[in-house]
Amino acid sequence: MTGTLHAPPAHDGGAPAPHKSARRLLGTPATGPARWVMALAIFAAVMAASLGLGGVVRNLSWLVQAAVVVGGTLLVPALLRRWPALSPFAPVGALAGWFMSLTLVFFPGTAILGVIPTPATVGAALDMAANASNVVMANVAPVPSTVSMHFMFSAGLGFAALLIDTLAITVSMPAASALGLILILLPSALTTANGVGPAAFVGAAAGYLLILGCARWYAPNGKLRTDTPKVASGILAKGAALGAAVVLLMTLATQAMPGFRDGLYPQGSQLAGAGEGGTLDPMLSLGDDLRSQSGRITLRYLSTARQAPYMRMTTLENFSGKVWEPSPLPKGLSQDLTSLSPAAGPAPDVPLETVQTKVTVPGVGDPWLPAPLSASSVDQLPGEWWWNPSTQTIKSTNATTAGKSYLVTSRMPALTQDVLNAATAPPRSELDPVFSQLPKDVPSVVAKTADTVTAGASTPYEKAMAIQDYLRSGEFSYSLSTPVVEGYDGSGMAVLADFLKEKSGYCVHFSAAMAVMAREVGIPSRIAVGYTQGVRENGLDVEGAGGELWRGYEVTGRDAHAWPELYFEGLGWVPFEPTPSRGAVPDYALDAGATAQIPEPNPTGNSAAPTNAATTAAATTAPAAAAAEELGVDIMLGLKRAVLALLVLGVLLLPAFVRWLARRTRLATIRGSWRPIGRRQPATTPAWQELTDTAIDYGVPYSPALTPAMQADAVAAHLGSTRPPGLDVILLATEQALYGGEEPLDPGEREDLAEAVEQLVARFRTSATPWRRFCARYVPASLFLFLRR
Amino acid sequence: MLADGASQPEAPSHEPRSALSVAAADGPMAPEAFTALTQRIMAVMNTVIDGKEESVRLALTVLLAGGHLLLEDVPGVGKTLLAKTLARTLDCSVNRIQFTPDLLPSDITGVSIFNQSSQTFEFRPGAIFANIVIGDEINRASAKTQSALLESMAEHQVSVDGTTYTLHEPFMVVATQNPIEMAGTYPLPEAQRDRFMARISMGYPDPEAELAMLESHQSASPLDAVSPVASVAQVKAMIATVSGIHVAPAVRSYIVALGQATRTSPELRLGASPRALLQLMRAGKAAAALSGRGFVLPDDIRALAEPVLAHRLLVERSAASRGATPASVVADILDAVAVPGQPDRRPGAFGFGGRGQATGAAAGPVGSNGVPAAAPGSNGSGRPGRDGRPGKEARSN
Repeated sequence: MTGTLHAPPAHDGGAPAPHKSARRLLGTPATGPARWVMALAIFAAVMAASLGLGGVVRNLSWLVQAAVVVGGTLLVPALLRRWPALSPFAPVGALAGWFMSLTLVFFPGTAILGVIPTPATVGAALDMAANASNVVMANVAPVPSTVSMHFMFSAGLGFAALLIDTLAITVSMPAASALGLILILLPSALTTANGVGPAAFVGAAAGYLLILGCARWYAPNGKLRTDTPKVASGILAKGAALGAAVVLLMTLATQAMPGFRDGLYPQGSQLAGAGEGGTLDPMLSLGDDLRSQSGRITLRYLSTARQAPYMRMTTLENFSGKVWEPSPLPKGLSQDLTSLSPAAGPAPDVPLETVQTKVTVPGVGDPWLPAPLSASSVDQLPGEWWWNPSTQTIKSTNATTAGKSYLVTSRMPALTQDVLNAATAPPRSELDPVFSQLPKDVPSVVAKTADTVTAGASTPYEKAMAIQDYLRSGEFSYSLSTPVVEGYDGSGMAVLADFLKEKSGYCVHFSAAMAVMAREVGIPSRIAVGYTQGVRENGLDVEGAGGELWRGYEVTGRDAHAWPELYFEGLGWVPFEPTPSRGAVPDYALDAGATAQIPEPNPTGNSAAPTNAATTAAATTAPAAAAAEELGVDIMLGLKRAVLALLVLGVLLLPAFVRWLARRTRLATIRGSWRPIGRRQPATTPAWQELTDTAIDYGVPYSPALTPAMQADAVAAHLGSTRPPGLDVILLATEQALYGGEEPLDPGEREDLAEAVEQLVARFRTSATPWRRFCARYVPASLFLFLRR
Repeated sequence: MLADGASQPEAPSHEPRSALSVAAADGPMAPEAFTALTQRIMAVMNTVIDGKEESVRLALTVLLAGGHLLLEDVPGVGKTLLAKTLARTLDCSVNRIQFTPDLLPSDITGVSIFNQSSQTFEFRPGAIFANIVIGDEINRASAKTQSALLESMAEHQVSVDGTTYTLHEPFMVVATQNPIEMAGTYPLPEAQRDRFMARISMGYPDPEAELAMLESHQSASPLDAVSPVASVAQVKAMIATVSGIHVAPAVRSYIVALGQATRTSPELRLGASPRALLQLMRAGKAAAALSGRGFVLPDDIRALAEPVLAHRLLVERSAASRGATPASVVADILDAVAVPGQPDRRPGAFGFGGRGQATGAAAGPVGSNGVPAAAPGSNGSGRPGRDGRPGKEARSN
């Protein structure tokens, strides 16, 4: 038979394997480079997803150790798969690799040869895990970056890598490998206010697509496919483009959707971990708590006091170290909560005011018991609770306040300015020195400021008032967001220096400033952490048995607060309120000139008409606070908008960039300085592809049914007047290459061809209208042809 | 000018054909000589036929491709003149047969006559024994006579009384016919139409050409002034050159895609046969050679698609009632079938690589559809291709 019209080789089904050269280079003929590519893909996916953990811990120093562990976990199975008979045991290998790399990184001293674990290694690892568990229990995100946390992260990531490797290759369920990636994303999604963050989200999604793309080399039995996948090379590119588009869309949608990340319910961007209630952690994550503006009811209480006290939970008194933490519970504490007495309380002759407070915690609780200062007894509280007389806090080691309802009786000295002014005696010697000590790294600006502010004051009370007045003065503003410095949340001397410079911050900074400055001028101090009195709810009021009124209050997450308590000999610990616009200033701490009125905090509902003072106070402080808040919000919003605008701009410029890249690639291909990858035999020449694409960009009608010569005529007709000489250079070269079966061009001809293409593109540009030129550059029609029809 | 080893026109050989005897294959002609010679032939023909350069070129294309030509048009537009001019420009034997209803098959093929002196049957060759046979008004003969022409056209041989006689090389039938609507005609059967490589509808000349024709033809016919410019050997060499023209896989798959499109078109009752595609490719090679090119372009195929394919196609009656003609259907198909090598940018083919038409896969059934073996010597199918291997079209699958 003659006249058989052969199909062009480009369409031959099972032509040469695309990875032939790489295969020879990297692997045995039986397995090829696929196992390395796959291991790299999993490694990349795990590490990209782990970027999300950045919000959980304070810095990224653990990343290197984690990379080693993940790499080790993936290396062993990849090596094992060299011998197909061993590939079912790859998970065991991964497990061994996981153990060995963890040993190598964290406990090389206890191991044989640094990698083979011994019983001592196991013991060390268990200790490390227990330590990490303590850190996790004692902190909220971001936790301090300690070795035990590094160990935890590395182990977790290594396990995720093991899981993905097993799922994607051994079990051949690559789609299920998302499980491992989700495991990595969960901690940050659950524990941080910002959620996973775009980088980790995009990274994890890209890694997942990478795994899916690479997994098609493997047959369902976990062995490498013997036949080359008969998939057109475009499939991978299409899949990647589609996946990238989806990821991009999701990222943009969450940015653009109003109320998704902020507003009343900012939980759209994160998994709600806490449920109803929400607790105040003793660590100074107050910033997060306050910013989250959580409206959830944290606790309700009824109080017999006319001026409801703040609810204290814990105190900070040790100001050394980078992070201020509550002191650990001392030994020998009492569980008896019936007759409590402070370690350094008021003198016996000071008259006391007895107040009863009935507290109900509806939702999730906390090991620290919210109670007013100077609690003398706590009733109706089940569980083991320890009274710390030194800090006057009550803590449980095995219970929380969740769902508890208890009665606190507190006996507070009746404080007035005169009484306080009279308390000038130096602190008694039994007072724990921790309340007066200052670390060596106190910035000089603190002492200087304290001296300047208290220059005219003689008694401790006057000094304290001077400091409080200074912090409440117009110089300082309340803001949850400014200055937004990494690590500004929380405490520490460096933050304090920043605060005194910026003169803007929130309760943590104000209280810390006052506490430290008070120590500078010789007054023992501590920072109390808890809640302000909350919102008055008349509906909760009840009539007590003795005819007294129990006033009802509701405390929410946004009432979280920190305030300084100063020690006055003979009077005990006295709270102050240096934070403007928050809580209520006790009448003894009001300025001498101000009327000693009792401001009813935030009356709502059908409450009695507020007093004049409250109105005045609200009127004076509210605008300043609002302005300050607005300023902060404005900057944040502006930043967000700028980022959003940049993203949108990037997306809009994407077609232009892709088109530009395609042109550069083709020109490089013509010149021979770049060899296209992946495509076995291109359907057309790069010069012709570029010419027709440019023609389409500039609106020349295009039809695949036209021959190159006819298409060139159409281009010439579009360009008008004279036929550009470069056009025929391109046309002839194209016809030669496509239909002539000639030898490849020599370098000189390649250069001529590339120049002809460049000239023609320039010719198109000059002969087009500005609008057409704009469209051709930023909305190139050749990229969007597939949308037509 | 003359190719090496050029021989004078051979006398008609009446010897019975020996097995596998192939006409002497002269080497292909140099490209420059080829171009010069073809241009001279066309120039001479254009002095006789005014304003019909395209028809002249097509006739020469068919000659060089080793095919047969069907000239179809109303009487008096110069069909016979074109055929005669082509014959006169070549220094070769020419026979003319005027087909009439009473023409017998033996008038064409020849007849064995008993020689009294030698007491044997002697073969008297018919009109078919010539290099160029002009069959005038072929559709006026009966079907039996027409079919006598069939064997000779397809196989370049004649069988009379059980003996096979080889025809001359080159051999070309140039038939003219009037449109079948005219009175007293027998339409050519599909099988016979399929044997013509191309059909030319001459059409009326434009006014200028007609004026020039009145001027040049007023006294003597310019045909008388035509002297041959090419010998038989040169024509053979030119045919050899044409057979060495390169046809890229992309062009072949384009041809197959066109053929597939005619078969799947809802407007056609009968699509293009595998032989039609083969002839399209050969005609394309000749056209490429005439353009002085060493390889076939899709443009050649496009230009030849209508003359080569249209006369073989049968239009569905429903489509014909809407005004579709074979020519219009071919034009539609040309507008729809993607040219391999052009980036395919239709929906679903996105990405900036673009993949070629996938119709190349359709090449499979063609070979098994029973393409008749090309007649030996009808073109260079036995000759080495340009790369020293057998010609690509000769490779069996």
